[in-house]
Amino acid sequence: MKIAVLMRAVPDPVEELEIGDDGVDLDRDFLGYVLNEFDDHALEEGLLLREETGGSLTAYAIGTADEVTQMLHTAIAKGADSAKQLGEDLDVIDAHAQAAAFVDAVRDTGFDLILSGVQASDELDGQVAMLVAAALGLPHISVVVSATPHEAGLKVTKEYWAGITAEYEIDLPAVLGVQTAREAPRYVAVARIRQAQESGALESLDLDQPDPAGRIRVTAMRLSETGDGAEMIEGDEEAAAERVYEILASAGVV
Amino acid sequence: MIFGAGTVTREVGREIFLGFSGIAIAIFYLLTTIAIGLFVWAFYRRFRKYSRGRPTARLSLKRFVRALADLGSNRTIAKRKPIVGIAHFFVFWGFIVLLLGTTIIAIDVDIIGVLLGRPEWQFWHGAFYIGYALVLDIFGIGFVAGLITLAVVRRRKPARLDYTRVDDVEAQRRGYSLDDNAFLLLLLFIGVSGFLLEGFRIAATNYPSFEVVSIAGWTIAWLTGPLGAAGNDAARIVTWWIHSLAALLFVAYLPYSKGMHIIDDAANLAFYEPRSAAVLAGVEDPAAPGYRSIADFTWKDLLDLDACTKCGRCHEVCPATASGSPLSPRDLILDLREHADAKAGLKLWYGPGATPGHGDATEVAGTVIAADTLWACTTCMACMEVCPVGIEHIPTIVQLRRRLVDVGDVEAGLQSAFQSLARSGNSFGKSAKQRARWTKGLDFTLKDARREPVDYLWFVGDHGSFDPRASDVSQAVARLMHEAGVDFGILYDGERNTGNDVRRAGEEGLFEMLRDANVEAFESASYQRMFTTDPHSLNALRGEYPTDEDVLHYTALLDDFVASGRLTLGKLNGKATYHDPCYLGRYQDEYNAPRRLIEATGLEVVEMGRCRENSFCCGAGGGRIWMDDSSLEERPAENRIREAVALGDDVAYFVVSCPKDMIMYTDAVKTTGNEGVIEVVDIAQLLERAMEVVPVG
Repeated sequence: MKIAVLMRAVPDPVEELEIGDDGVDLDRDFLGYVLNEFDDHALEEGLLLREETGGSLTAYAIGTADEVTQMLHTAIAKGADSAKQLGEDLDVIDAHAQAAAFVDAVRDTGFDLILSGVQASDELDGQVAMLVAAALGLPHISVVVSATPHEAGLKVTKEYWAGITAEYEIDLPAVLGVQTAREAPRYVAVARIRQAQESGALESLDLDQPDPAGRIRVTAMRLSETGDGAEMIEGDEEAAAERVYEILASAGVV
Repeated sequence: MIFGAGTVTREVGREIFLGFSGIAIAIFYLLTTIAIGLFVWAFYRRFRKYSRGRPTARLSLKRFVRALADLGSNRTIAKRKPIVGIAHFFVFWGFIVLLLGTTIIAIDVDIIGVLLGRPEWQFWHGAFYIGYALVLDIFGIGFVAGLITLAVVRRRKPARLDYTRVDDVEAQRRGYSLDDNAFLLLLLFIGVSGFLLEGFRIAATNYPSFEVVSIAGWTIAWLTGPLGAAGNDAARIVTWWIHSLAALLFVAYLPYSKGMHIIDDAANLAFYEPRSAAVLAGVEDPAAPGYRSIADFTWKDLLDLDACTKCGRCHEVCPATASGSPLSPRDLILDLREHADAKAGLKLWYGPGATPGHGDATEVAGTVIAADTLWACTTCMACMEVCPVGIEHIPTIVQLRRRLVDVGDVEAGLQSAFQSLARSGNSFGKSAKQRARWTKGLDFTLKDARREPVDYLWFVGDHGSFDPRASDVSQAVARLMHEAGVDFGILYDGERNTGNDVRRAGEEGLFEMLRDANVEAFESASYQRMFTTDPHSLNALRGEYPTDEDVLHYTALLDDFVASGRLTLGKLNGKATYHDPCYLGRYQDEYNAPRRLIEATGLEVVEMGRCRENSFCCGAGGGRIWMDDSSLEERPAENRIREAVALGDDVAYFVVSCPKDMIMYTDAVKTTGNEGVIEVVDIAQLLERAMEVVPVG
């Protein structure tokens, strides 16, 4: 099975996030980046499938930050056969732009399976995988929690709400949006990442800035407001109910 | 006749083959040849196993001299087990002297007498014989008495000699007990039958007066007197054969049994490096770190496995074993021994090790030794400290952990700590910029040693920087240094975790990364000397950094200041107990400064049973602080707090000098319901309290 994993670098929440002067994006000058957690799961599921079926796995990521290179080296260290860095930063980062860049990179390369995280922490509409599928005209399943080889295709478990899951059979080629891999993403030793850096398996690709049509535009970004703190309601049920009613009444709700 | 050549009767002496036919003598020599042949063959096979280990440089005069003292005194066996030590001392010297005695007879009778046929060169008679007889009887009595003592100790079934495994693996361990008993009883049998033989011979040869020096034999001869000369002679012949056959059986049995410890342990002590856990060997080939198969073990590691006598002392002191984890250092060594023997095609007399599958596996980490078992080790070094025969458990565990890390088989909590450390240099998932945030609670500013020169550079460590319980202590230390007028500074966001525990968790690449970042920060700073509040950092900085830092633990520095009057203390009242951190005590051999400081506050130090070298780990070392400990039956820290509480109501303080201890024990006091009973307090905090009560004027 020939597998592609599309990975995104997202702002590292360990660092303090500040809004830039334009008020519509984070101040990206001082940001650190980490691999999007869901993409880490997509990579793990891809590695498991590659181990089960043979074939190859290629990891893709967009951007010029050191962390992007590091992410791809880590993917190679974990077992990816090759990695491609789309070596330019997107002018505007959103799902449509990312999907367009990925589609340019993977179109006509003959992948049987394209995996990406179901969403990213800086892009909560969760559309990259489905936009890629739509652009390539491939079947797509999202919120995947397991994908295992089944006949010529895959058996895929998708999670709905309230503990409901559904099982699908899907023909290849296909695109999956992965929520969690079957196993926790593996650890890769620092020494292995160093070896990957020297392996030459990372290749840089050009990136065309995508056409901005049909995209979400951020008009303002603000930090969430800090409230005055919580009020703990004391007393028995009667007293508590009375106090809740008072609060609701004073807020004009009842 | 050939066999009569050595049997010249002397006035003072004895005949070995008195009254033996040539055929009987021939049978004896044939059996001797077979026994020695079996010994040499099995010994050669064992030796060949060790010689196939990877090389390691262990030959040094210093180690050799220390081993001579260890062996001669049996001090490593007597440590904290004086009765066993003294008993073993007598068995040890008894065995050597009896073996020398037998060797003298072999040289005199078999070589000079029989082989060379030069009776005039024989010396085993006259005054020499009298001295020989006296010395051999004295040491023989010690030998038998020592063995009886050890048999009684075993008979009382101490918990450390219970071979029940701590993990759930089905294993047949009956062979172990069988061999222990066979070894001890066979030696005892040889000793006792030797004395009986001597008694029968003296009685049968009409009590030669010079034989009175054979004090044991003489006594027995008087008791067997009523049998008459003929009766005693018949008994002598029978006992002669029994004694000789038992001795020959022992020779053949030795290399297939626990008896091998006689040779292996002398060698193992001579090659033992007590600092091998404190200064770990690096990774030779970064592409293949750690031990994959038994072929990666060094010859000393392989010797370690055979050196184990199953005395159970490591099992008894191990915090992982005590807390119900699947690790027992004894079982680890024995499992590896069974595996190594299976791979080398060797067997002990009671059969192969009965742990299923050990012979089939190639991979050691995660198969022969389960991953959970390897992750359970706190690297506290109690096992190595207590091991009487110089087994180095921790370097082997770390090598196996390196392999687990390389294949990505890493405990979940540890994995996220590694990832955080790789990202931002601390295990707390915090930005490096927040490292010095704890200093905001001070009413003075700490110097940045990278910006202005300082006398002392303070290496604060992760926990002292990020954990509020430990950073309270950091603040106390800062105030004390400030009060003492010390010119000191920190590295702010330039400091990284030293990687001491990362290295012990097997992530060598990450350790190197952290170390290099710290070394770069040190080079950018200007300072005279370094001190640290973290014993784990102390260990790495002293022994595992290329900068060869002359680092102090803060208690040594404060001890100086109190002694020289730079800090003035008032007196507190009451009693305190002190917990020796593993990495300050066992790893860095510092026990006294903390105690002097506590006493300087006016508190009386009441020692716990397990103190100083025998201190009991809090459970946080070797990366354990990052791992899940919810499956443990009793956390080591809880066990320790219960020990402290049992000292009595009047012991109000549990004094610590390590940030990890502050965290672990504060928790354990809560989970054991001892809040208000005993207070966990750092030495620095105690000093501050004592300073507050300085009488005015």
